[in-house]
Amino acid sequence: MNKVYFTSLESDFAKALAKLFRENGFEITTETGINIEYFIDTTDYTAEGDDKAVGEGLSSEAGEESFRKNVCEPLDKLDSCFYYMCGKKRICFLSSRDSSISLSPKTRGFGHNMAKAALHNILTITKNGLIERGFTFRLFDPLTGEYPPELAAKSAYVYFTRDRYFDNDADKTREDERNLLLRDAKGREIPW
Amino acid sequence: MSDLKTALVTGADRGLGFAIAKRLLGEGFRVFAGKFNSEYTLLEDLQKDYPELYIVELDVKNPEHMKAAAAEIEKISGKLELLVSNAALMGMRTEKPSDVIDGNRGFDPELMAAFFMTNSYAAPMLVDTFLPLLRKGEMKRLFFTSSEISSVRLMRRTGSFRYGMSKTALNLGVRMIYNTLRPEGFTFRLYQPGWMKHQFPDGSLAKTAIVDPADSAKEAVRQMLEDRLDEDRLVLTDYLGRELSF
Repeated sequence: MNKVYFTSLESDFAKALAKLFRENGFEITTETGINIEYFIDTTDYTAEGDDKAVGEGLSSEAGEESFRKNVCEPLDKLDSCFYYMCGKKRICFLSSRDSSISLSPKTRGFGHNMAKAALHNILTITKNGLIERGFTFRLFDPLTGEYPPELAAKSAYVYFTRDRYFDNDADKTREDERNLLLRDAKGREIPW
Repeated sequence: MSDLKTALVTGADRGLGFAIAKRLLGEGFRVFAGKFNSEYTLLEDLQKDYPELYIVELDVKNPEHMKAAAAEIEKISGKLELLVSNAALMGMRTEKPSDVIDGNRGFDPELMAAFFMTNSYAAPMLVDTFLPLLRKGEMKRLFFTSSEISSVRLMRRTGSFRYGMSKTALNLGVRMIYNTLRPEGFTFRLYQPGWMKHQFPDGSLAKTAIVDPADSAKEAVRQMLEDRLDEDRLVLTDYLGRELSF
């Protein structure tokens, strides 16, 4: 049975997504060291105190904690999983429009939002290095707080499990896995 | 206190930061230059020609250093026109995430955090600390040294991932600062300085790379001192004046 690794199953979104994978014949695991087809990071962590705008007394400790939780810890887990990835070898991370340099309306949560933006870059570089070895990548915004987690999970399931092709899948010979995209739960592409 | 325009330049020990500090002094600014690396004495040598150069100890990961620098600027100038956030750890081109599956662990969390705190999070921390002084200045201009490697759209590399991710995070941090301070009249510059030649402690430059720090600083200072027709767009521009996509 193909296995799906989740970094965490705590959020409603993660639970709903895991349920969909199970219903479609996948086994869910939070253990490393076994063969997996999907690596799914569901971390969305904001440290206490990481809620200030400039001029309100930003916390260095809170910024670092948000970064470590959202970037260092998931990447450390990915480190442990790389060697065991098989099949689609698909690496999926959560991000948000709030971390889009072009669109972010945010004035608070520097650590959290900057950490997710960092992921956009590091996953692109990782993708560039690993695409030739068959690894594929997805970045997804579940629209937390503004979209029901069950619907976001349905959207994520389709986005994560489908292979990507040009021309709306009409021509299966032209795969389009080389471009990393950030898509939200409504299917919209978010610019970097 | 005098009416001299005042600038703070971080990472001014050498390279681009040093060249920007020197150029701003030539433009008549009083410059507070952040010093981190005791190996370099270029700033001390420059001080002999420019009495309006003040050297401040400034490790941008250290909030106490920032507060001490702000207290000194408050005492001497009472305001700050221009903040140049330039200090950064540099990346190694050979560090590749794909090394991980070849048996080398690539995502060292301590190194990752050090790059983030120095190259990314220091920017909002600096603005946060110096904002009372910046609000008293006339220019209200914030300059951040970024990189073309911050551009996710243009990214074709497989290495330098710590540096790359830190500069993308920086750009996002600048966007968030922009969202707060642009309505107050602050203006922003995000600058890609080019692949610069490393500067050694004796002031000489390495042969590798293509851009002299002094040349990049000339364009950087032009961009930081000139007003733009449209200040309501946050853009990343390079040392040739071109706009790069995020």
